[in-house]
Amino acid sequence: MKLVISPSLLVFSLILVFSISCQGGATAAEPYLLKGKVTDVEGKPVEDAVIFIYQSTNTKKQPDFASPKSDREGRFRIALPPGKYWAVARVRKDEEVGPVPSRGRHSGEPAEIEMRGEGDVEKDFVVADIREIARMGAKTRREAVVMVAGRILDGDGKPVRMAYALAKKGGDLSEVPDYLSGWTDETGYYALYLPRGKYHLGAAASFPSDEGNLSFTEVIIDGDKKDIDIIMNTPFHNSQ
Amino acid sequence: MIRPIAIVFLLIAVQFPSTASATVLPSDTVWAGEVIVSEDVLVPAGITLTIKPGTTIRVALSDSTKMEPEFMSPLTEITIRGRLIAEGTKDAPISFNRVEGDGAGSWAGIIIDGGTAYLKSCTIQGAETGVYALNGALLVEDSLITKNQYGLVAEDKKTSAIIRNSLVTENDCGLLSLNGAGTDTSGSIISGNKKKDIYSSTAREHQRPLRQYSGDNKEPVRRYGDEVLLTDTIWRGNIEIDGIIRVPERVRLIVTPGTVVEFKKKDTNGDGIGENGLLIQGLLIAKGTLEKPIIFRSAEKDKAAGDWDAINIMNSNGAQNLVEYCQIENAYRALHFHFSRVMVNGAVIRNNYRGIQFQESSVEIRGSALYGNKSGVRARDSELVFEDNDVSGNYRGIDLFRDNLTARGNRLMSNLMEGVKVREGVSIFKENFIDGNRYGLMVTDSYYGNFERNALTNNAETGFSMKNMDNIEVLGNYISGNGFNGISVQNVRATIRGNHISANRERGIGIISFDGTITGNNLAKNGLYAIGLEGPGDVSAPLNWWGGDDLEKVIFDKNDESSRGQVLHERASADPFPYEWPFRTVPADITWGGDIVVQSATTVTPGSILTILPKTRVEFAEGSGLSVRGKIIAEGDRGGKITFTSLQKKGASDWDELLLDSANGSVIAHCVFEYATWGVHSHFTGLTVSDSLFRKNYGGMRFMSGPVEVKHSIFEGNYIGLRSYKGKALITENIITGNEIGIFVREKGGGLTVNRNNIFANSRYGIRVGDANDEDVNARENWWGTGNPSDAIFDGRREPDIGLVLYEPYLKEPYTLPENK
Repeated sequence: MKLVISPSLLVFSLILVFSISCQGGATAAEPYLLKGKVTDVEGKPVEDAVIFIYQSTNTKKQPDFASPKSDREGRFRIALPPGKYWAVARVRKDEEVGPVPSRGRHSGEPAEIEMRGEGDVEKDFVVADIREIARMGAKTRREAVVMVAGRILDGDGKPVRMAYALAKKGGDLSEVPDYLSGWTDETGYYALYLPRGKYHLGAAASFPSDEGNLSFTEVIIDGDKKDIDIIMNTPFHNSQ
Repeated sequence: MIRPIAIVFLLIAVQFPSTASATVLPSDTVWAGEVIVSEDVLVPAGITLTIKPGTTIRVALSDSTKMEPEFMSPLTEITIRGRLIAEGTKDAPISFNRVEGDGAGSWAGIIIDGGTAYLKSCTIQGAETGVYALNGALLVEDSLITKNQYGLVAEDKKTSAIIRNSLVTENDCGLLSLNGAGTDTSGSIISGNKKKDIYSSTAREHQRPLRQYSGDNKEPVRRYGDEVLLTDTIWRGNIEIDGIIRVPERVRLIVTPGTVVEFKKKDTNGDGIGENGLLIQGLLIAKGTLEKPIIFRSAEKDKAAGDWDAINIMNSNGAQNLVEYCQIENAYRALHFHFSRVMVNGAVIRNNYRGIQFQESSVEIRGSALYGNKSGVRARDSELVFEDNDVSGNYRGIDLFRDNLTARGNRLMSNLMEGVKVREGVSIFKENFIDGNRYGLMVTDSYYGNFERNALTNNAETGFSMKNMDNIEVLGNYISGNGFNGISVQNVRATIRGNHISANRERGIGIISFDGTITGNNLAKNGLYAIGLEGPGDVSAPLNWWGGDDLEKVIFDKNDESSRGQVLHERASADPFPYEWPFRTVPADITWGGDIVVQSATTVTPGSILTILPKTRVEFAEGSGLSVRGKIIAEGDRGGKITFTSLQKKGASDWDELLLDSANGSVIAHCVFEYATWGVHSHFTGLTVSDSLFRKNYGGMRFMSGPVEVKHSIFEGNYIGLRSYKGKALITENIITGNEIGIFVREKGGGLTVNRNNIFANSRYGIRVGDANDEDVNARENWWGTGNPSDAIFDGRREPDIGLVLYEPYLKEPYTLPENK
């Protein structure tokens, strides 16, 4: 059987092919979904986040697409035609575009996303504000030790300047205890970094110290502690 | 003839990818023919690099983020500390260019760092700076310097740059002359450069005291060669090291207060850098005190940077290494950490190639001074808490890459290149003072950033340069007096709010591309424009105060050139927004304008000048005041008084005082002082107060010593108008009325001349002499109102043994102030 192509059909086909090629090689396929979840640094879902989608790496302008706000489970979805995109997640309280307000959260460097036109694409985002990001980085470097911090106070409860906290393991008779903090300033603040465990904690105003004149209190350190005040020459006081 | 070793090096460099390591020429060297420079080249002192006529030098790009301490730029550079002779001819010129293609800024350029260079018939292009001369001597003849970012930069008064019969064209900037460099461009043409042809700027020299510690010069109690410390070791006294001391894991090196550690110079490879030092893989506790600091320095008689290697701390990330109240000098790198936890507190780090360098570490640097180094701090991939430090007089201040930074309360001043440079990472940057650098603060490629309540002032080029950033806040900063723009913005999304951006030489904000909001700012008295928009996108800038200027004149946008975007400036504020001064000091030359709020006792430090513009209002919070130990120029004018007042305006003593202490040269004119304890309080200061109003204070003005001149002013409604204590003053042509006591002479009134004033209707006395004053007071030719002048005077006539007020002859008619004539 001979295949007959009518001129009109041929013209239509040519038009169809031409119009497809004018779309930069994209097929006339329906858009698929970019979907995923927005969470915070602790993995909790974030509501009202918007995914801003750009067709170039320049993300400091009005987006080319923007998703509806994420739901209570942090889920979002947006239909996109095939192509390559860069996406950031932002959480804002009022307008949908523009800079993030001072308490807003952001997913950082844009994520590269390719919509191939073959199916939905999953992509999750973690949003954080600047302080959360800063804390994350600091914590990552302290996997082996914990931080014990507080103030060194005198008998009247006033901060002591130019003192330092010290921690020693039981029975340690070395001239210099195992762990020392830096000299305190007028706030009396100190911070010690030490492995989890049992210690004798104290404070001194001279270095090396005369341990005979110091008093120590036994403490068990099992995680970060921020308000362990030390009263010089008296048992320490936990202000929590 | 090219030395065989150099040929091999250069050929290998062509064969293999560029690395960050570099070449220090070990002996006099000649280049000829085609030369590919793929690594930094350093010509050290005493060595000459000669380049033959017809030589083509092609410099490869640097794709590394590393920069060794003895080098000056992250780009591939040719640095001359010795001598460069590049003598081409008309028929055989010498060419310096990048390896591939055209375009500026691919290599650093030729840097004269303390050396000398002679360039004849040379073409230099494609560089960040064609030739940069610092503390050196440069002679350029018959040459072409083109298609660089900067054609020529000459910096520092020890630099001499002679450019003869040369052409400097098609660069972004042609010639920059900074900080007193001597330049002579006879017969040369410097024109056709894209942004500017010639620019000159000199930061006023500040005599800031530089902290330093001293140590003993006793004989060493212990001498070391190469050694491994197998157990905890305590150092006391003087220690001499001629080797590398290694402290292995689980071992501590404890350095006690007052210890002096000296390193002998050992340079086995002839690169000029000493190799002795410390390698800490266990823990370092160097815990000095202010009274007994610890010193680490060279043992050589003529000490110099690079005499010894470094205090290296590697993989010590358990307990915190402590470097406290130490002075570290003459090293290659004073402190160098990898994968470690370190606190540096109260340290002085000076005269090293690099002060502090670290990567992948947790570092706190507090209360320290870094000066005289090639670079102050360089770090990557780390957490850094940087507080209350002084970083000044270095070549580069702070250079950070991919760090998590919290920087607060630092002073980054007078560094020859940038005060602070940040690339990627997270920055919380608050209440820092960045003044007098070439570039103040440069931040690129960051997605989180908070820049709040900083001062960016008097930097030779741009105060705050932002490029390729998102999610940034620029809040409440004071940005003034910078040479080009206060803020430069390219490809940035940010909130720029509540800043005071004034008196920058060109633009308050220069924008190439910006998406965000500029709002609630004071933009006043910038040299060319408040906002200059170069790109095609619109910029949202509602609700700013534009200094009372015509917006058409202070905004450059589509209205001026159709290819540019529009600055949308709706709802402009009619008045300045109150700006809260974020610091307790004024540590540089600063100009206040608009509405300034002072929340706490604030000091103008010695050597600094605070200038206050006409119509400025300075509002003091309860109990606050301003203490001037430098100089204050508060010169209003007839139509624009300067007002010093309180925030709450309840009554006398709302705020403390304007205190001048040895603040010679200060000027107070056309000012209003109200609601203070003392409006002006002056000690040991040569001072003129004129055309001012003192009202509703406890005391208008008090002074000790002098000489002081008070004229054409009004003192009314105070408890005491003026008070003198051992003063030397001329008080003339003023109105002193409605106070309880007009003038109180506490002691040594013989130094006063009070004449041609209207002293009347003060409720208790016009002049009251205190019990401790036994000298007569010259108060002739004043007008005392109606009645007998003696009724308005309390002196020796009423109380024995105190001085007399000599009031005769007295005026029969009131004196008329010049304003009322």
